[in-house]
Order: sequence, then C-alpha cells, then structure tokens
Amino acid sequence: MTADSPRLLVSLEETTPPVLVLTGELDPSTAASLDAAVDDALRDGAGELVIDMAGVSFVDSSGLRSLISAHKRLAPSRLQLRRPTPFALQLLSITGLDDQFSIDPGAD
Amino acid sequence: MTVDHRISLRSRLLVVVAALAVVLLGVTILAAVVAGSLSGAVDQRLDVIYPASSSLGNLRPTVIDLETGERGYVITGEASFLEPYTSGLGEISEAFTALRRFEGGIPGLSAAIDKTQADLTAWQADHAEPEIAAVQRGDRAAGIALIQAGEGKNRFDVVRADLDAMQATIDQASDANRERTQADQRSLRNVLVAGLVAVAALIVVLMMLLTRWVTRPTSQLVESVGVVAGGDFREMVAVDGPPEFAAIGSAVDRMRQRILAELDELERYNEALEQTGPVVQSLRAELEPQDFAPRTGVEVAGCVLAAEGLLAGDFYDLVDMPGGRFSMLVADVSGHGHEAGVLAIRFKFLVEAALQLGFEPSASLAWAADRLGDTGTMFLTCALVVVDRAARRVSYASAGHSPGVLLVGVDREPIVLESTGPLIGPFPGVWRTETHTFAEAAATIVLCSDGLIEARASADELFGFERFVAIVRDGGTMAELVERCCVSARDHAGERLQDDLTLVAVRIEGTDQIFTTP
Repeated sequence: MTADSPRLLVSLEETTPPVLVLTGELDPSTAASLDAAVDDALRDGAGELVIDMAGVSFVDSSGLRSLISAHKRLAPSRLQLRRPTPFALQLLSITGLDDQFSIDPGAD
Repeated sequence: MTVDHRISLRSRLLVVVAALAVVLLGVTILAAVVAGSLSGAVDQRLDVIYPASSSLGNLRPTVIDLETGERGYVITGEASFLEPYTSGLGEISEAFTALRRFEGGIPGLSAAIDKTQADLTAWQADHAEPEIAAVQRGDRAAGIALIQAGEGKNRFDVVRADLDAMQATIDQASDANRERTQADQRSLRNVLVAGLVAVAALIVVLMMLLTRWVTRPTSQLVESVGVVAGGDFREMVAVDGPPEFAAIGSAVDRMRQRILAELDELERYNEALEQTGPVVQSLRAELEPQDFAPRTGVEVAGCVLAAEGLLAGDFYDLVDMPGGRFSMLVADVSGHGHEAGVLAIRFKFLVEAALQLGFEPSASLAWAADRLGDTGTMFLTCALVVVDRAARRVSYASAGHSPGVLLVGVDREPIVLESTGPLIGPFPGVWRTETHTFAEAAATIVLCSDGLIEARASADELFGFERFVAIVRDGGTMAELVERCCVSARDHAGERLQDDLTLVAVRIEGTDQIFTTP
C-alpha cells in the first residue's frame, strides 16, 4: 500500500508496529502524501508507528507538521523516527522535536 | 481551381513544380530535335553540296578541253594540241572519283555521274580514239572527214548535256537544303516561343495558386492571431487552406481556448479574492512591524517576502522596552494563508506584550507559549533578541528557530545564535536565555526565517547558513544587507520562493562612533 506524490515515495511495511518508508522530500507539495499514508497505517487501530526517514533528503515546516500530526494521533505512544538523515536530525534538534519523538538512529 | 483540402501543401507544390518541369523538359527535347535537324542541314550544305558543286566546276572545263584538244589535233595535226586530251583523261577520272564521294548525300547524283561517265567513254571510244588514230597513221584527211561527219560532235553534246544535268541535280539538292534549313529555323523559333509562353503561363498559374494556398491562409492566420493577441479571445481562429495552415490555425485556436479557460478561472479567483481580500489585508496589516523610532547609533532594516499570495506566516518586529532597551524578533508559523496568519497575530500580540512588560527573551517566549496553549499540529518558531545599549549587551532566546548571527566588531568570528528551546505550539517547552556583550565595538545582529537558509534550487543545494553568514560579513548598510540576502536567495532558488522569507537586521554602532554622531 502506498500513497505517493511525484517527489515522495511512501511504502508501508505491514509489520508490528507498521513501518512507513519514505523516499524523497517532505515539503508543502508532498506532506499530504505522508498524511494519507499515516491514515492508512493507523486505520487498523495500530497504537504505534515507525517512519523510516533514511531516504528523506529534505524536510521543511510542512513535513514537521505532518510528523507532529502523526505523533499526536499516536498519543500516549510516541512516534518513532528511524534513521533520520543528518539534515532531518539537525532540524529535529533545532526545533526541539527530538525530545518529543523517539529517534532511532539505526544500526550504524 | 478546387483542390481537396486533405492534400498537403507540399504535395500540391510538388504537382505544380512537376508540371513546370515536364513543360520545360518537353520544350528542351523539341528544341534539341529541331536544332539537330538544322545542324544536319548545315552540315549537308558545308560538307556535301558545296564540295560537290566545286568538284563539278573543276570537271566541266577539263571535259570541254578534252574535246577541243582532240579536234584541234585532228584538224592541225600538231601534236601539242593533243596534250589537253591525254592529260585530261587522268584529271577527269580523279574528278569523277571526287564527285562520287558526295553521291550518297545528293539524290540522283550517282545516276547522273554514271550516265556522264558512260557517255564520255562512248564518245572517246567511238569518235575521239578513231579520229586520233587516223591522224597518227598519217591519214589526217580521214580524221577530218570523221569530224566533218558531225557524229562525234553530237555525241559530245550529249556529254555536255550530262554535265548540265549533274549541275541541275546539285542545284536541286542545294535548293532543297536551303528550304530545309529555313524550315528548321522557323521550327526552332516557334518551339522556343511556345516554350517561353508555356513557362510564363505556368508561372502565372503558380503565382495564383501560391496566393490561394499560402498568401491568403497566411494573411487569414495573421489576422486571426492579431485579433486574439489584441485581447479578443472570443473570436475563433479558423484557417481555410492546406492542411499545414489548418493545423496551425487549429493549434492557435486550442491555445486561445486554453487561455480563455484560464482567464475564466482567473476571473473566478479574482472574484473570490475580492470577497476575502479585505480580511487578508487586515491580517497582513496586523503583522506589519511597529513604528520603531530612530535612535542615534542604531540602524535597522527588515523585509517579508510571502511565498504564497499576500499573507506570509512569517513576521518580524522591533519593540521598545522599558529601560531604554529594545527587542528584535522573527517568527515563522508553519503553513501559509489565513490560518497561519491568525496564529502569527495571536503570538505577536502575546510576545510583544511580554516584552513591553520588560520580560527577558526566554520568559517572553514562555509567557506567550503558555497563553497560546496547545495549537494542535500548527506550530511556530521564534528568534528573539533584547538589546541593552547602555549595558552593551544582547540577550536572546530561540524557540526552534533557524540560527541568527551576531557580528561583534569587524574582524571577529560571527557568533551563531542557535536554538535555545523547542518550537512553540504543539508541546509545552522550556527555553533559556543566552547573553553576549560587545563592549565598545559595533554589533550587527541578523535574524532570518528558514525561508532564507532553506531556499533551494534542488534538495541537495540549499542556500545554507554559510552563504547567509558571508553576506552578513560583507558589511554595508542594513538595508543593503537585507536586500542582498533577498536577491541572493531568489537567484539561488531560480524561480518563485518555496517558503516565506523574513529578515531583520540591526546594527549598533561602536561607542566612539556614537559619540561622534552629531
């Protein structure tokens, strides 16, 4: 199951918890694709969600807003971000969202 | 001329050019044939008739001399009279051989030569030789008697008549050749004239067809496009002509229809904007920076470039504070449009109220965030600097905002004003205040929104913090600095900015410069 836009590919790994794998850019033109994919992933009542951001090359405030939206829907659980790129990690750190989300830097 | 409209202009032109080529080819072939015939006639005159006539001219006196010499010899008995007879026989033989070379080119000449030779041989055998033999055996009287009998003369008169007949045959051939030459010349002239007339007629027809197939459709197209270019998009563009022009007309008409559809859509947008415009204008006015009274030794500049429409989610402001202090801030609300604008206004009023109450930066942010409450998924970031000129000190706090720059003096490394707490809105937070002093040196403080740092031509090529710092270090007035940042970001993005871009820059002169200012 995917919810893609031309500049963001989103694929859902139906594991427990489900994992959304993103490839591309998270900006005003693609954030709606992530929102739709989160809707699909949480439709079955999943209480947790992992977003794999290893393939995300760019994030702006629209992308952060989609991540915050997903995080708030999961409360009291926390949104888990897996393998954010250095750019995304820096943005999360500047905005203090690294304290809100659960960050998994990955194996390396 | 009616032509099937499905036939392309190229095919039509090919047919016309082919017709022209066929006519030209026909005229050329006809002219070549006639010229060939004329050339043959001239060749016959020069190579056959003239030489044959000349050879006959040489033959005639030799033959006459033959008979004269023979008769003189017989009458006088003088051997010297016989010399033209004996030498003439050889010359006559050569002359006949020469004439026979032309017998193939002149009708009747061969028979005339045969008859002349036969009659001459007969005269020689039956009369000349017996008369000469009589003289040579000493019986000159017998020879003279033979001459007086007149039979030999009659036979030689036949030879004379043969020579006249040969001349008549050659003359007849000459007359025929002249007539043929003149006929060929007339034919050649007629062919050339007819060819020229035919080519001229075809060119006229071609011009008429080009007018119908090219000039007229082009004029029609230019006129129709001119009407559309003049703004009358309701006028349909249609071209009557070859398929190529019809296709151009059809394409232009599709473009007209698309423009018309977009204009209709734009009109609807404008109507919607007229309904919402006053609200947006009011929101925008509320986000404008306050009047900041100029003060000695302080130079300020700022700008807001909205990525969409009139209302940015960004704003900056300069706020007077108790104790001679003032503050500068830049805030960036996520998203665009009126929703972001309302949140920006709410935050602006709250944080500026806190500053006017004299709160330090972090306390101002916390006070505003507390009263703003949970904003759901919307959030804002804010960089806030309080300048205390008397104490030569700046204190700042940043709620998840893009880094700002503090440049003290000229040669020192810039100080990066990094985030000191989380963004505001979705989650509660705690912020801290950091302080820097700049003593007697001048200080430049520049705050910006992420629309500057993240302006990008592609995902891998952001404008970046380093470019921002480089522009700040280049110096100049604050207005120039702000302008350079905006222009550079636009140039870097290459097209419309993807995010709002907001900047505020403040320069506090060094203490020595302040004292020298009148």
